[in-house]
Amino acid sequence: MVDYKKIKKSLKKALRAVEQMEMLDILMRAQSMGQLPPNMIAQFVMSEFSTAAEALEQGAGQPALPPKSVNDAPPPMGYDEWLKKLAQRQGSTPMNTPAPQPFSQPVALANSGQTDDALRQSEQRLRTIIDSTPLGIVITNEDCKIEYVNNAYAEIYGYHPSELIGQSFTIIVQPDKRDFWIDLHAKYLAGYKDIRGEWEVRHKTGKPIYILADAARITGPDGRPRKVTFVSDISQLIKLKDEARQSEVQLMQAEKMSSLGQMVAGLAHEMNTPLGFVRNNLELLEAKHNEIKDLIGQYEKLRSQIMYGSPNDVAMILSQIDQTSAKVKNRLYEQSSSLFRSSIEGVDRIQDLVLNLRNFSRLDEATMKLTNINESLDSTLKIAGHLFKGGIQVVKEYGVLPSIMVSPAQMNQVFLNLITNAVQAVNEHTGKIVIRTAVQHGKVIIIIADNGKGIPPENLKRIFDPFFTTKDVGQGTGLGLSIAFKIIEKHKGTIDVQSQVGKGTEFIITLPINTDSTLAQSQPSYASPFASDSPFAE
Amino acid sequence: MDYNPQLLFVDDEPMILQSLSLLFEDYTVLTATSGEEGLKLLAQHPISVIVSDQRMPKMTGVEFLRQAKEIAPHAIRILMTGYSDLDAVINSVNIGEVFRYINKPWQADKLRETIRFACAVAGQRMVYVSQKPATAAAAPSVEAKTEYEILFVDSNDSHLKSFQDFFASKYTCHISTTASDALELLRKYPISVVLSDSMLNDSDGADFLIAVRNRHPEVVTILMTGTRDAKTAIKLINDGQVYRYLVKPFPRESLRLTVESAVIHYKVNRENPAMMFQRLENDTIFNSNGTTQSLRDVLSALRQTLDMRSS
Repeated sequence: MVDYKKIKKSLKKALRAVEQMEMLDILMRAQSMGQLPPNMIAQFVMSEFSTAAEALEQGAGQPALPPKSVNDAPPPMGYDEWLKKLAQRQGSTPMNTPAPQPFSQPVALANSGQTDDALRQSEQRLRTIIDSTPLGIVITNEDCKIEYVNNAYAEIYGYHPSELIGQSFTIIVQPDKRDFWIDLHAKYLAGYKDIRGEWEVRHKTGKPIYILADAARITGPDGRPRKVTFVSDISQLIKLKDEARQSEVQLMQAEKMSSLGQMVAGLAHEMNTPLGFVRNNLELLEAKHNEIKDLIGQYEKLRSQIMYGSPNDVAMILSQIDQTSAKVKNRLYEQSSSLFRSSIEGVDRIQDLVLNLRNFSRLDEATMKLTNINESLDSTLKIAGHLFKGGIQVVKEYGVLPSIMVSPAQMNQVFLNLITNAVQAVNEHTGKIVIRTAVQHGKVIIIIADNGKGIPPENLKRIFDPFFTTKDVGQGTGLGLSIAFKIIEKHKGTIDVQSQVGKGTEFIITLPINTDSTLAQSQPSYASPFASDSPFAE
Repeated sequence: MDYNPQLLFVDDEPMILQSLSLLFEDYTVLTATSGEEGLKLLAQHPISVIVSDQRMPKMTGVEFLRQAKEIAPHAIRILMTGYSDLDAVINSVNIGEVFRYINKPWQADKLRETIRFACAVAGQRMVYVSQKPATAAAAPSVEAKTEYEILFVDSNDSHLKSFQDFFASKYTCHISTTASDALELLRKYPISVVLSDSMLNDSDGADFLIAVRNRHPEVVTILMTGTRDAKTAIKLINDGQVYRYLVKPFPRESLRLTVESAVIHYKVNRENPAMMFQRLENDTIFNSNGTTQSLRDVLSALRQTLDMRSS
C-alpha cells in the first residue's frame, strides 16, 4: 500500500527545498548580472570585497589585473564584473567610478591621504561579514595552495580553517578527480574556464557532498592571480530534489493504480459476464456432443447389424437410434449454432477488453506516435464504458482531425480522467456528456463537457493543483487533473476549464498540430511488434 | 417433485439468459433483462427461485432482490455476479437476504445442484405458507421481556457487558468470549439469535457462525466486524447462511432493530421445517465430493428416465 501522507509530506518538503534552490539560483544570477536587490548579504560581501580589494591594491601600489585576462575571458560571470570595473577605475579618474557603495568610504577619500584609515575600517567590516556569512569563501593561489578560508568554508567540509590553509585545495575533491581540478584551476586563472555550477566534492569524512560554487579572479599582493571561490552546501537540497523526483514517480504510479483500481470492478464484471456464458455454453455443447457421439456409435452398430445381424437386431437398434436422436434433437440442439456464435462473440468481447486494457497499462511508455485523437477518445470511451451503465448519455461530435504526434497512452489517461470526472459529476439518469473535437486556428481542440453539478469558483482555480480533491479520503488522490495538466503541458498544449455550479463543466484541451516524426524517433520505443500499426491486432 | 418449480433469471446480458435457460431446460424458466421487468414477472408468476445479476443499468441486483423480497417473500433469492464488489456482497446479505452468492463464470454442475436444492427449499416454504398464513407480521411488544434468548460472543469483555446491559430488559442474554464456551451455551439453552464478533479468543468468528449453522440450523446468526471483507461475507452467505453482516461501529438503535427482526426470522424458521434442508445440503452436497458424485449420477439417471418418458 502506498503511504500517501508520507509521500505528500516529503514532496512538500522537497518542493520547498526546490524553491529555496531557485532562490539561491536567482541570487547567483543576480550577482553575476550586478542586479542584486538591496540589503542582501551577498551584496555586502560583493561591495565590501570590491572596496577592500580596491583599497588593498591602491595601498600596495600594485598594478591592476592585466586587462588582457579580463577581456579574453569567456563571458564574464560572477565577480568578473567588478573586476572589470576595478580595471576601468584604475585607468581613469576617480570621478568616473560608479556611485559610492553603501559600506565603502567615498572613493575621493581613498586618494586623499587617509588611505590607511579607510583601509582599516573597510577591512574590519569585510572581515566581520566574511566570517559571519554562511557562504564558504576560499582563496587559492596559482600553486593550488589554499591561502585563506572563512569559517563557513571550513565548516562545509568538516575541517578547522587551520587544517586547510597551506594545503592543496585538492584535499576537498574526489581523489580520482584531482587532475581534472588542477587543470580546471589553471584554466580558470588563465581565463579559459568557468567554475560556476554544481559540483560533487568530498567532506573530511570522505562522504560526498554537493556544492553550488562560483569564483572570481583577483590579484594578490605579489601581482599573481588568485582564485576566490564562493561555495554553498547544497547536499541537503540535492537529496530532497532526488526524493521529490522519486515521490513524484511513485505518485504518478499511485494515481495510475487508483484509476485502474476503479476500473477493475467494472472490467472484471465485463469479462466475467462473457466468461460466464461461454463456459456454460461449452458445458452444454460438450454434453450435446457426447450424445451425438453416442448416436454415431449406434449408427455404426446399425451398419454392422444390417450386414451381419438378424432383422430383429436391426429393429432393436433402430428403435434405440430413434430414442437417442429424439433426445439429441431438443431445444439445445436446435440452438446449438447460436450457442457457438455467442461463445465466439463472448471470446471476442474479452479479447477486445484485454486489448484496451493493454493500451492503458502502457501509461509510462511515453512513446510518441502519430495518433488520431478521435480514435483515442473512442478507445477511452470503450474502457470507461462500464461507467455509463446508468442513463448517462454520451454525445460524440467529432470533427475531421489530422493525426498528430502525441503519446497515445498519456492522452488516453487524460481523457479517461476527464470522462471519469464528468460521469461522477452528472446525475446518473439525466446526465449528458458531450465530447467535441475540431481543428481551430491550426490546433486540435478537444472539448469534454457535462451537465453535472459544476465546480464552485473557489475550487475552480485549484483543480489542477496536486493533492487538491473534493472527494472523500481514499476516493481520489487529488492528482488526476494535475497529471492531466502535466501531460498536456508536455505536449505543448493547453488545458482550460469553465464551470458553472448547477449547470455543468467544460474542459477545453488544445494540442498543436505536430506531425514531426523525428520526435518519435528521438524517443525510445518499447512498443511491441503487435502494436496497432501492425497487421495483427485491432 | 410434485410441483413444477419456476425459475426467474435476471441479467442485462441476453446471452447469459439464453445459456441459462438451456442449462435449466427441465424447469419452467422465465427471463428478464432488467430489474423492472423481473419485478413484473414476479408479480404474475409463482416463482420459486430468483437468480439475479448485480451490475445492471438502472436497478442493481441487490435493489431488485430487496423489492423482490416484498413481492414474493417465499422465493429463494440468489445473486450471481461477475465481480465481488464489497458493498454489493454485504448489501446482498443485509438488504437482499440472499440464499447464495455465486460468482461468474459458474460451473454448470454446481449451479444445477444449487438451483435444485433452492427449489426444494422453496417448495417446502410454499407448502408451509399454503397451510398456515405468515405470522411474521405480529411484532413482539416493545416493553415486555420476551421468551427469546440471545448469545453474544466477543473477545472484548466490555463490549459484551454493554450488549448485555442494552438487551437484558427484553431478552435473556448469554455472553461468551470463546467459540467453544459459546457452543456449550448453545447446547444448554434454547438460544434464538447468535451475534458474534469476527475475532474471538479461540477462533475466527465467521468459522464459529458456520459451525453454529451446521449444529443448530434454526438459530439465526449475525456477524459483527470491524473489517469489511468480501471473501468472508461470501463464505458466510454460502456456507453459513448468515442473517446479517454488521460493520462496526453501528448505532445502538440499528442493532436493536436487527436483533428484533432476527428474532422474527427465528420464529418463522422454527415453524418452517424447510430451513432444516440447509443443513442437509451442507452435510451432503458440498462438503463431500463422493456424495456429490453419486447425487449427480442419481440426477442424471433421473433425467434420463424423464427423457425416455417424454420421448
